[in-house]
Amino acid sequence: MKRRAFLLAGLLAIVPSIALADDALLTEIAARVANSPVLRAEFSQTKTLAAMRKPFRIAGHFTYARDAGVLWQVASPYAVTYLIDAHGTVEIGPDGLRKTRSGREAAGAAQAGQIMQALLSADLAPLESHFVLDPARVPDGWQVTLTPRSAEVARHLTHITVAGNTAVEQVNIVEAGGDHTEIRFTAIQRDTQLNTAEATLFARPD
Amino acid sequence: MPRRLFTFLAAALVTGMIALAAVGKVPVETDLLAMLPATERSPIAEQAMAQLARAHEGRIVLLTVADDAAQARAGAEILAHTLRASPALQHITLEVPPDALDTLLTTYLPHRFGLLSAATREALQHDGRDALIQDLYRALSSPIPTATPVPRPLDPFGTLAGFLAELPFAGGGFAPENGVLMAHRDGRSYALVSAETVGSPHAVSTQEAVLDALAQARSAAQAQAPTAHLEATGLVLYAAAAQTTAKREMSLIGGVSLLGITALLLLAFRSLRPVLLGIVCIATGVAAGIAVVLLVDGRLHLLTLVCGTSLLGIAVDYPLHYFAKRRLTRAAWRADEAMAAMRPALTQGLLTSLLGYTALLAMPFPGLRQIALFSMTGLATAYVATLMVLPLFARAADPRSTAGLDRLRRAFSAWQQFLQRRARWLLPLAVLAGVPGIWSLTHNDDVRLLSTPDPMLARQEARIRELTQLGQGSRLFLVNGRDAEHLLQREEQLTDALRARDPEHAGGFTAISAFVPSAQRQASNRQLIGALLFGDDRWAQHTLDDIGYHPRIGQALADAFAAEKPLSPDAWLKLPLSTPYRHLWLGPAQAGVASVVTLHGHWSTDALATGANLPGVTLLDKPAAVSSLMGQYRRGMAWALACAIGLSLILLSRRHGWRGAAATLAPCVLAVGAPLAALGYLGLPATLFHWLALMLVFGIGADYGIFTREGGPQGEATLGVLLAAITTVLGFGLLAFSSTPAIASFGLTLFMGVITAFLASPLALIGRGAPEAAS
Repeated sequence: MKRRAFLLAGLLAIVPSIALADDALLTEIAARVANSPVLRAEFSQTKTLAAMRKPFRIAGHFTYARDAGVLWQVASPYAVTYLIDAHGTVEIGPDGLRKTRSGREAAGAAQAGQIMQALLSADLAPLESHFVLDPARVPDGWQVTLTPRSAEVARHLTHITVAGNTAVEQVNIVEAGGDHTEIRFTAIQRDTQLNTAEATLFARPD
Repeated sequence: MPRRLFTFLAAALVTGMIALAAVGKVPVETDLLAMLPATERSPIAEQAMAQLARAHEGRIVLLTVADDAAQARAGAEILAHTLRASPALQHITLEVPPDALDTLLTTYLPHRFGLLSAATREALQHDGRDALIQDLYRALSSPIPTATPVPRPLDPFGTLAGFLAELPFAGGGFAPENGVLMAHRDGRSYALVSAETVGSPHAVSTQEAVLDALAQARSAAQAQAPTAHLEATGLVLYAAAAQTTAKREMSLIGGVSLLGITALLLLAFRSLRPVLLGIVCIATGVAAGIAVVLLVDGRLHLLTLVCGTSLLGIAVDYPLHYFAKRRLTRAAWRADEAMAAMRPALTQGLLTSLLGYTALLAMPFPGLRQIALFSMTGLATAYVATLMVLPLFARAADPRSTAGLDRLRRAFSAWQQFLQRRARWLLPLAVLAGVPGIWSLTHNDDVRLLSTPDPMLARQEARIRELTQLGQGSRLFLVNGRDAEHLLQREEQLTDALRARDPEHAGGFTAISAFVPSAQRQASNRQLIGALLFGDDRWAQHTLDDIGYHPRIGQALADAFAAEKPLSPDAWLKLPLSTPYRHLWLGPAQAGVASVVTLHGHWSTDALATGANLPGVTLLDKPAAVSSLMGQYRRGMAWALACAIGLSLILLSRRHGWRGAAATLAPCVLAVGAPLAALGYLGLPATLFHWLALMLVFGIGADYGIFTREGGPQGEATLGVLLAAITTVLGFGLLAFSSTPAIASFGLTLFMGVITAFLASPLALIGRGAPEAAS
C-alpha cells in the first residue's frame, strides 16, 4: 500500500482531447451507475503474476456510497477492510483498529483513494488528467479503457479496463510486466442508505 | 577664519563624496537578523546554522499553478527556459531524470534486508510473522495496482518498498510526471521549478537581476500558457521586497520630513539662507556618519540608514537655536558673541546625547553599535559644523519684524508661567499618574516583531511550503558523535524519540540516518527480519510457495540475504542521490563528527524538548535564541538609560548645582516616562525598539532642558526649542508610519517623548537665578 505513493503520485495529465461523443458516453455511464446512493456487491479478485505458479485469489464484500466512498471488505483468505474515499485509504483490521499513515504515504493514499473511488463508481471524468479515456458500447453495456498519460506510470501500468451496465461489473488492470489483476462484481444490490454497521465503518474520526 | 572654513568645507566635501561613492556600491543590508549578534556560543552550532543558511539562502522555489495540468506544465517549461537565459540564476531544475527511480533501486536493493521503515520495524517486533504475512497479502490483495520501483518478486513482503516510501525526499506531494515534478490538489495542478541565485541574495544587483528574470519569465509564461500563474518563494524575493519598501519609505518619510522642516524654517526665518546652512550642517553630519560606518563596518544597515535619515531631526536643532537667537535679538546681533554664549548649551547637549549613545555603543548588538556610531559621528560633526560655519555666514543682524514669532512666544510663555507656578503639585501629580502605567508595562521580545514580510510573498511561501514540505531552516537539531557510526546511532535515537512524540504524523524531519541507517540499526534489522524469514524452518520459502510463488523466488531471496552487506555512510555520501542532503552532514567537528536534522511541519515545543534532552543532541532555535537576546539587550538598554540619566545629572550639577541639574533634567525624565506610561495604560508591550527610541528621547529631552535653562530666565530659548520639537516630530514622528513594526514603534515613542519634552521644557527654569549665572 505504501508503494502506491510511487505510482499514483505519478499520475499525470496532458491535454485532454476526448471527442464530444466520448464525453457524452462517459456522462451517461456515470449517470447509470450513480443513480442509487448505495451499491453493495460481492467481489472476487484474481491476480495473475509471472512470478507465481497459480493465480492469487481474494474475495469479499464491496460497498459503494455515493457521498462517502468505497468499503472494500476482504473476507478470504484473511479478513481486512479498506475504506477508500477522497481523503485517502484507511486500513481497518479485523480488530477494528485503524492504521494512520505518515504525511507522504497519506498523500499517495489520498490520490489512490480518489482513483479507486472513481474506478469503482464509474465516475471516470476526474481521471481524465491522469489517463486517456476510451469509452465504448459493448453488447451488454459499456467498457472504458484507461491508458496512462505519463511515462512514469506507463512504466508500470499498461492499461485499465472498466466494464459494466448499471453498475461496474468488471475491472481489469494490466501491468507493464504482463502481470494482471481482474476484479469481478456479482450479486449487485441497490439501496438508498447505508446500514448502521457500514455507517460506523465509513465514519472518519477527523 | 575663511581659511578654516575652506579646510572644513573641503573635508566635508571629501567625506560626502566618499559616502556617496560607497552608498552606490555597498549593498544596504536588509536582513534584520544580520544586525543581531551570533546567538550560539558553540562554534559547531554556528557552523551548522551558517552551512544551512548557505544551502537555503540562494534557493528559489517556483510553482506554476493552473486548473489544467497541461497548462501548468507548459508554464513551467517556458519558465525554466526563460530563467536559464538569465545570468543571475543557475541550477534551474525542471526535468527529473527518467531513471531517478531506477537509481533509487540500484542504490538500495543490494542492502534491502538491513533497511526497514520505522513502521515495518515496529510491526515486525510486535507481530513477527503475522506482520510479514499481512504485508505479503496486502501487496497482492489491495484493490489498487501496486507499482513500486521494486519488482514484486525481489521484495514480496514489501519491506524495501516501505523503506523507500519513507525516505525524506524533499518535494512532498510532488512526483515526476513525464519528467516534470507535478502535484495535483483540490482541482489544481502544480509544476515545480527550482533555481539558485548566482550572487548573494542580499546584494542589490542580484535582487534586481532576479526580479528582472522573473518578470520576463512571468510574461513569457503568460503569453504561452495564459491560464497558468506563477508563485515563487526565496530569500532573495523577501530581501528585494524589503529593499524596495525601505527605499520607498526612506524617500517618502525622508522627503516629507525634509519638506516639512524646510517649510517650517522658511516660515520662521523668512529667508532661505538659514535653511540652506542648517541643511549643510545636517548633510555634513549624515555624510560623516555614513562614511565612518562604512569605514568601520564595511556595510550600512537599512535600520541605520532609516534612523540616519531621522538624524536630520536632531542635528537640525543646533543651527535652529542659533538662528532663533539671531532672529529674536534683531539689531543687537553679534554673531561671535552669540555663538560664544550658545556654546555651553550646545556642548552640554552634545555631551549628554553622546553619553546616551555611548551606552548603546557598548551593546553587543552589531546593529545598535552601528546606529550609535552613525549618530555619534553625525552629531559630533554637526556640532563642529554649527560652531565653525554658522558664525561665518550669519554675521549680519536680522532686523526684520518678529511680531508673528512674538505672538507665538507669548502664547507659550502663558503655559510656561502656569507650569512654573504650579510645578510643586503638578510634577508629583504627573509622576503619580504615570507610575501605575509604568508598573503595568509588559514586554515582548519576539524576534518576529523585527520584520513584517510582504503578505503576498508570505502567502505564496506558506502555500509552497505546504505543498513541498520545505524545511523550516530556523529550528533544527545538531547531533554530535564520536564517529560516523556513533553519530548515526544518536540521530536514530533522536528520530525514534521524535516519531514516538508525533503519532499523528503532523511533523516531519530530514536526517541522514533515514537515508543510510547506522550499521548497528542495519544489523539489527537484518537479524530481525532474517530470523523471521530465513530461520531453520525456511519460513519465507514455504510461505511464498504456499501462496503460489515459484520456488526460485524464495531461493533468490535467501541467497541475496546470505550475501548482503550493509550500506555505509561514506558510500552513500558519494552517490549523486545524496547531493541535495550533503549539507546536513557537517563532517569532522570539535570532538568527532556532527550532523544536522532539519524539521518541517508542526512540532510541539515539548516534543522538541524531548529530543534535545538526548545525549549529543542540541536544539538550535534561532528565533527563540534571538528573542531571548533581545530581552537581555532591552534590559541592558534600560540600565544604560538609567546610567545615562545619572551621569548627566552629575555632569550638569557641576554647572547648575544639584537642584539646577535636577530641574534641567526634569523635562527629559518626564519625556522618557510618558511613552512608557502610555504603553502600560494601552496594554501594548514594549520592545527593544521602544527603548532604543527612549534613548533618543533622553538625548532630545536633555537638550531641551539645557537650552531652556541656558537660554535665559524668561524662556528666551523657547523659539529654538519649539522649532526643534516640531522638526524632530517631523523627522522622527513620521517614522511611526513605517510598515516595519520596529521602526514604527521607534517613531511613535519619539513622537510622544518629544512632545512631552517640549511641553515640560519650562520646568528646567525652576530655581534659575539671575541671567548672569548662565554665561
